Amino acid sequence: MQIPGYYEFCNKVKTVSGHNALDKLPEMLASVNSVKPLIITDKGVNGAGLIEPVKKALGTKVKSGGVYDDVPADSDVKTIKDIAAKYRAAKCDSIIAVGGGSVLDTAKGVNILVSENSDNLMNFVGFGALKRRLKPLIAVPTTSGTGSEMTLVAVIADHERDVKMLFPSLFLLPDFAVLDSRMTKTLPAALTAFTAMDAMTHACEAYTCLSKNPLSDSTAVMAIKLISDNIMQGVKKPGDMEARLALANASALAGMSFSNSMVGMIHAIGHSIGAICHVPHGVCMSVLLPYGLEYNLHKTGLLTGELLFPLKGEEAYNSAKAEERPLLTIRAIREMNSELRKATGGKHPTCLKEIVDRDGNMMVPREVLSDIAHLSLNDGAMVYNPEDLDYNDALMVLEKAWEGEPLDRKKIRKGKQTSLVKVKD
Amino acid sequence: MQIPDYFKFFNKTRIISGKKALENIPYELQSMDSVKPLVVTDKRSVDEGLAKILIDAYGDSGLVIGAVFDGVTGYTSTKAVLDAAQLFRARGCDSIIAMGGENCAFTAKALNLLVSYKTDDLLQFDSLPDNMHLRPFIVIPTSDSSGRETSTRSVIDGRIYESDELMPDIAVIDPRMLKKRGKAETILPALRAMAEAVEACTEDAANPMNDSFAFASIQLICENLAAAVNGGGSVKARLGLANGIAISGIVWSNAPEGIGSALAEELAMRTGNSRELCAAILLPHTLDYKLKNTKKSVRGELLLPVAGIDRYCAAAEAERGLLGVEEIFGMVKGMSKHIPVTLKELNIPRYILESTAEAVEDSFAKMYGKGGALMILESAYNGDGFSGGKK
Amino acid sequence: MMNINKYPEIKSGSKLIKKIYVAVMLWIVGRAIQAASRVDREVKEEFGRLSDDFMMHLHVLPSGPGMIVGKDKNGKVRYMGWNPKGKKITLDMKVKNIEGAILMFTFQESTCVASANNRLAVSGNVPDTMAFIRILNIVETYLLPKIITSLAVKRYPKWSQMSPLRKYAGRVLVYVRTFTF
Repeated sequence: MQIPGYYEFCNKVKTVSGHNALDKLPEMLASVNSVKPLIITDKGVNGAGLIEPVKKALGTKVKSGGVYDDVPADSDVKTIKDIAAKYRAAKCDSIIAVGGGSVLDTAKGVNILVSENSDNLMNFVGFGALKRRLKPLIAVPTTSGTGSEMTLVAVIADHERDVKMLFPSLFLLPDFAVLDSRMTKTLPAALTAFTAMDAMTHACEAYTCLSKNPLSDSTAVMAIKLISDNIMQGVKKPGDMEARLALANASALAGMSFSNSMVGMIHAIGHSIGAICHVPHGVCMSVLLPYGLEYNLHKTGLLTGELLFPLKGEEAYNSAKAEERPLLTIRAIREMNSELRKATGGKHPTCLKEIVDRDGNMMVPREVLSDIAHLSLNDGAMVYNPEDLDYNDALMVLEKAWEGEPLDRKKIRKGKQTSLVKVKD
Repeated sequence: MQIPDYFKFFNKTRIISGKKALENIPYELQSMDSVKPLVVTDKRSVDEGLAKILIDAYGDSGLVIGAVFDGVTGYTSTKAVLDAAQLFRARGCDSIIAMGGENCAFTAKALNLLVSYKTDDLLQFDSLPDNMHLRPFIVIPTSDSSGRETSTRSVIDGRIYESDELMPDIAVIDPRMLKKRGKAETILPALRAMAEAVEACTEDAANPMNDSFAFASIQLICENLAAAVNGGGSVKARLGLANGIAISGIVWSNAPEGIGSALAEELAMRTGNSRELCAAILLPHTLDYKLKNTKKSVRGELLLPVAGIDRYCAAAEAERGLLGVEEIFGMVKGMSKHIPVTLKELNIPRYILESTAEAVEDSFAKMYGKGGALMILESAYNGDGFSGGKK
Repeated sequence: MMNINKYPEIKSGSKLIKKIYVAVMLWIVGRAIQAASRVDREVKEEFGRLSDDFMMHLHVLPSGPGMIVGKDKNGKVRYMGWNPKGKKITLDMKVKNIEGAILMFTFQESTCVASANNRLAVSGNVPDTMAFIRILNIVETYLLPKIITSLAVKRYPKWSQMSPLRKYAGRVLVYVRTFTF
């Protein structure tokens, strides 16, 4: 374990995990002096009946300030203002966010407005803009992937001005993260698969990118181990509550990890595919993960090799030579994607051209790869990637990922080789 | 990996560690809306020049340090807390920096209760409310730190104050604050920190989050202890050790008390030896006892942070727990030139062993079987070798 | 009651020499960016993609030094001194303290490593930030000997891939334009 010359780590979220963790909601609210929480969620979550256990947990002990279930998939400042108005009208004093990344980002935005008593989010953009504790926020994730219950940043769009605003602040970390296995029980197989691979990608990038540190390392390894051990079970036997709880924990651990170590090119390219082709984030992550690891091998071969242990177990790690492990790690991830494809009846893609929408149309046509490559260079995550990428590099990675072929490592333009384990091209 | 049906985990403390970490303090305090800290420390830290380093790090910040209060001594008294509170108010401070060992942090935590609630009555905090809003509080660990700085605990005049909110907002670990120490002084806090981290992940209640922190703590200590002790000790090794120790406080705060640390606490109280020393001596013997006398034995995963990934994976599954304990045995025995490693060397009479065992027996007999506490103490007294898991 | 005068209040000192050093480095880098925007194709293109009101303020908290580079009315890239007064800053890059700036400008920490070490606090949109980091990296390869720059960037550009013109003439031009008025 390398102790870096410098690092920072923060995970100031009270985690409550369990098969009936939600039942502790009244206690959690009492501990933050809240008597009237507003529940924020989306139609999908509410339709799946997932607000019921929340309401039941609140019971008669806590008066709910109502349920706002109108968070759209592409939530923006307008939605946030609406919800803030509702919060004020109902005289709420805390927020319970039930849902995925979008719901949680929205809830964080609402929290800024109602805590700072403002109507203009613009005043709070960027580092250091928030200086005080906000109202209590309880995050209840309904997928096991984004890890946003553990992250300190909110990304909020302003459709009118066509920009995405970044709100990074420690004050945006939720007060509580509630990991309840019931909340992911009804998640369809394909969604379970790619959200888990999303968490897997967080952990793998966290372990190999520039801001890694002892705590992001140990949380990443733990997350990868839990995902590898439980992902197939979660996909094949949706009702397996142990697997569900394990995946929820893994996702939170991966969130803790990457929120502190940051992520690299896989996220940079993935964000751009999402922005241009509207592919769900986790789907991009599943496909790109092996490519990111491959591209950086000359810098992070040793680290990538170490990941063979949490991925494939002690035996597999021990029986491979150090210089074989990095490629075995990458192969293991490719195999995992193929297995998930089989297990989901072809819904889980292994390459970009296999990504289709509900009607079976290809979502990432080859022609847009060049646009994606351009856009990805401007993504903040590129800073933390071990190796540089220019337009041609990004395009090369995208083309290979589109076809589903491994990278030709001879063609990667490499900076100084810093990995202690040399991997042959 | 074990995931209990229900668990809670919380770490309030942000860690900022490494080169020029101290210089971040003015910025960090300002981003918590405060500008004038009171520094709570002891004479030793001031004599070693640590206060000067901190003041220099404040250079160019344009801010003012309310005062450097160095009235913390080897015993944490209410008087020192009240003195600090008087100074805090007189200077119009709005935040607290504790620099030094656990006593500095304990004093600072109690001070924080007084100034945040505008009172001089510490006793009113007998039970602490959940949702306390305390002043921004930064801890700067030094080579005197025990790990309790980052914990939920404060002890003043023998009374314990405990709350999640008493964890510092930030622990700033800067290599310049980690002065070289004598061998025993380096070894003992590290071994106690490790004992607590090991105990946390060998208990039934272990969960993956606290395990992650425990593994990081154990690994940092195992990898850096020898280098920090031998040949003058490198700065990097001391930084690794200080990180491991700071993280152990978080782990300890999230785990139920284990039999080893309960015994160490009792024994220290009854014999006047330091807790560190008692914990260090008891560590391998507690593990050995668990290995041979409890059903669940010791988790194989313990070997991972103790021996590193290569050796962990090379070991047969059934052997891992055993090897982990053996490794820790070797580690502690290897220190026998510098510290006592048996209770016999401390000349503790037999009747004290018995009364110590009796004091903790009730809380742990269910888990560890009757007479377990005494067996651990006896084994530590005699300095029994590693049993290899055989009775 | 204890005598509180035993514990005096402490005002923070100054770090004048370090501030002067960073101020000089910022001046050089600022001038060099302006120069490179005339000479280097890539830098020119990067600036071309930035909006017309682009104005970057790179400065050290809490009280400087700093430098401003932005586009003037005619869209020309110019080094605009240190004073942000009256200028509309679109990208605000703050180094949290003077020691962080020293680490960066003695090239112990590259821009990327400094970001990874959380030494910078940036307000402004992310694409602009990324473009500016790329520009800084290119300018560094002009200004500094390879042995130093290769510490500061992840991948030093292969000189063989550059035209001889860019390699030598470009360097000379950037130097000349940086240090003459």
